[in-house]
Amino acid sequence: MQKYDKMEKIGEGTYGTVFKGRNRDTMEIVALKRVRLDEDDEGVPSSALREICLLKELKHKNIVRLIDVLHSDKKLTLVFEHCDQDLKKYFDSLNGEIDMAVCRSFMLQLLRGLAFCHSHNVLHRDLKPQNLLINKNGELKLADFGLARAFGIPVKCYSAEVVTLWYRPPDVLFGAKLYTTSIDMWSAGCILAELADAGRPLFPGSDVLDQLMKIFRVLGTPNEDSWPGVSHLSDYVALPSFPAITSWSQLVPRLNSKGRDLLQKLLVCRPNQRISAEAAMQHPYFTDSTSSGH
Amino acid sequence: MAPTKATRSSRATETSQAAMSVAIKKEKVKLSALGNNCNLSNAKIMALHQDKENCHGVLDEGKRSKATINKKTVLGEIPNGDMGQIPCRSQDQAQAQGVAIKPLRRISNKTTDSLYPSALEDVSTCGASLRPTAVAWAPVVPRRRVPRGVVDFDQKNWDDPLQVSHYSMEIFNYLKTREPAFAIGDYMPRQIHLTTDMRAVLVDWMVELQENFRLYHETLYLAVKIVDLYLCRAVIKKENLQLLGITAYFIASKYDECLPLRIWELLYICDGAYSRDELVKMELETLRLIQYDLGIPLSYSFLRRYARCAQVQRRTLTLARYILELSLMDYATIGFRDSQMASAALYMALRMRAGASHLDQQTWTPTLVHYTGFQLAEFAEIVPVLNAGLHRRPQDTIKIIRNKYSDKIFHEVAKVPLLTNQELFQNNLAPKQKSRTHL
Repeated sequence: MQKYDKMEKIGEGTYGTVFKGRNRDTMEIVALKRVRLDEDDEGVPSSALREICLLKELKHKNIVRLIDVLHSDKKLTLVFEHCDQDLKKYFDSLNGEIDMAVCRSFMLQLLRGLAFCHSHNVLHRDLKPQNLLINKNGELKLADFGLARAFGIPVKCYSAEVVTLWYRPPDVLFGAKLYTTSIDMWSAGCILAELADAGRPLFPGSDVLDQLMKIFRVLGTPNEDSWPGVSHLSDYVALPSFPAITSWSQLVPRLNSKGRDLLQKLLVCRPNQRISAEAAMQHPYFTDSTSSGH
Repeated sequence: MAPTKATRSSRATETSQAAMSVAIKKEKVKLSALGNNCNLSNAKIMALHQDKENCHGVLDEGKRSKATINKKTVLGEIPNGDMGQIPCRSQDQAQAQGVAIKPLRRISNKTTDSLYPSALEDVSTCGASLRPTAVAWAPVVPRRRVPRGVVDFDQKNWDDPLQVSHYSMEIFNYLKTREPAFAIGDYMPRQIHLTTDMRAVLVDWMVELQENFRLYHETLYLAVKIVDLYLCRAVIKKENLQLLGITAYFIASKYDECLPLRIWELLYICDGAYSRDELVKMELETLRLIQYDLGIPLSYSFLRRYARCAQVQRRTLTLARYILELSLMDYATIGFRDSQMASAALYMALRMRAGASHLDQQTWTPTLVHYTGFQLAEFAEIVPVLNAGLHRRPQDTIKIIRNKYSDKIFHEVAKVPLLTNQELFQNNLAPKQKSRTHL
């Protein structure tokens, strides 16, 4: 790797290790994601393959930029634009306080990046604070497309083993393999609540069952009336029927009423009733600039 | 979290390996004969033909009664009859589909149904089971402008999440804008070691692999694109053409399938013609040459979209698919845009299904114009090329596709009476436009 100097390790992706790097000519700081190609593997990992080809296609200021792909027999190196930190680390630096204007700005940028993915037939499938990069200018970028994939229309069956547990929607928790853009909208909802609460995750479940319980304690347990077909999902289990909470202001006290309204449109158990990224961007939460805080 | 590259249990892999070796044994092909022997057809016939019935007997339970004698010899080697179906892949797919698609399929014969997963999807009812029956709270359906006489398919399906109605129009327009980036030029003059016949043999074999491995049709179409894009950019020797074929499948299946093809599966079907090392190297070289750009717009996807929007019958869609699939082998079609190929195939299928007694019918309706974005005149030049493919006398060596679509599962669409070019266009293309198409 002559073009870039490798610097310190900055993390682990879905596959491969990420290092900070510097372009020898331009001195530009980059992120180098290294994918080992082992003897007994199946060639280029499909996650790396998808990440490369999807990011080559998705050029947007709220999506991390793939600058280059370097080859050798033993490894592949993906060269990304470098961002200072991810949202998780940003949360850690906050000491439990977040400016509501920042919260709103990050959310809007997340939706913009997501709407771009969705309108270019790509599902991210692993949205979480660790995969949202933040740079010095307060720009947010979707990253780690290792679980992302292009979808057909109509969608086909995809893997149910997607999305980190805390951000996984109830339909996928119940084993749904037919899902579409709504899968990312649920994660976006979880992230909005987490943003508004300065980094405290909304549904930090310990396993699939606990995750479902945590969700249903807030949203109410779905049934065939509220969500036709739910009991036919492959991993469906009947759970105690919790009522939905009545006061969202207790759940996310710092979020204003418009923000809470958006949150309720994102966190809908039944996938086809979740708001789309395109529609969410138009939500009054983002248009009324006076209403931060309560 | 576990990546999408789903891992099979080792047990499943073993079973799969055992059964696969039986199921595919009879038709694993050394197309490397392509390299050593100029007489391609023979290589192909020898390898594929003699035992094709056997394979079908194994793979197609629906046909088992027909192929009993052959099946025995094959199934005799398998402890459990069900294993004959390349268990891992089919089970996974069946499972995957069993989750939600179960009620979608119209075909009652479950075993037949499981044979050609994506080919059988219905036009009008797919997704029906998941469509809400009673909408308590429905998102606002935006009013959009469609021309007079056009049915707004997306609006009708706004609540069906599987149709991705919110984004469909945008996505398909986007895919159309991407087509020029994947234009395929006339590369054969530079491929001094290849002929169009060799390409046809390769594609025919790839069609068979798609069936046997139960891959999505998109994977087949994508793999053929990868082959052509590679051949646009690098000269290849005859003996490596088949390697390119399996490499293309290797890559395409990683991009689109839940369970990508495994190296051993691909090496196996080439009967040891290539090594693991060669395949892995070829993968990297191919990816480098096509610059990792796999989001290639495919005629197959356009066709499905157009057929759905126009609510055509499944028989018609199947006929259009047959026309498209046949065109995969036809080098004369490589330069056409995929969206226009899909339009032409659908137009022809509609004309052929209506038959010689309805030649005056206006076939290319405002709805089709709206959703394809094309007037008939814009893709009319493709129609005679595709029609020539249909009229061509099938060679003994290359008839996988014709056989496939002669099956009842595919409504025997390969037997639908053909029309002449003039009949295809009658009363639909003005004479002035017609002259442009050199009829």
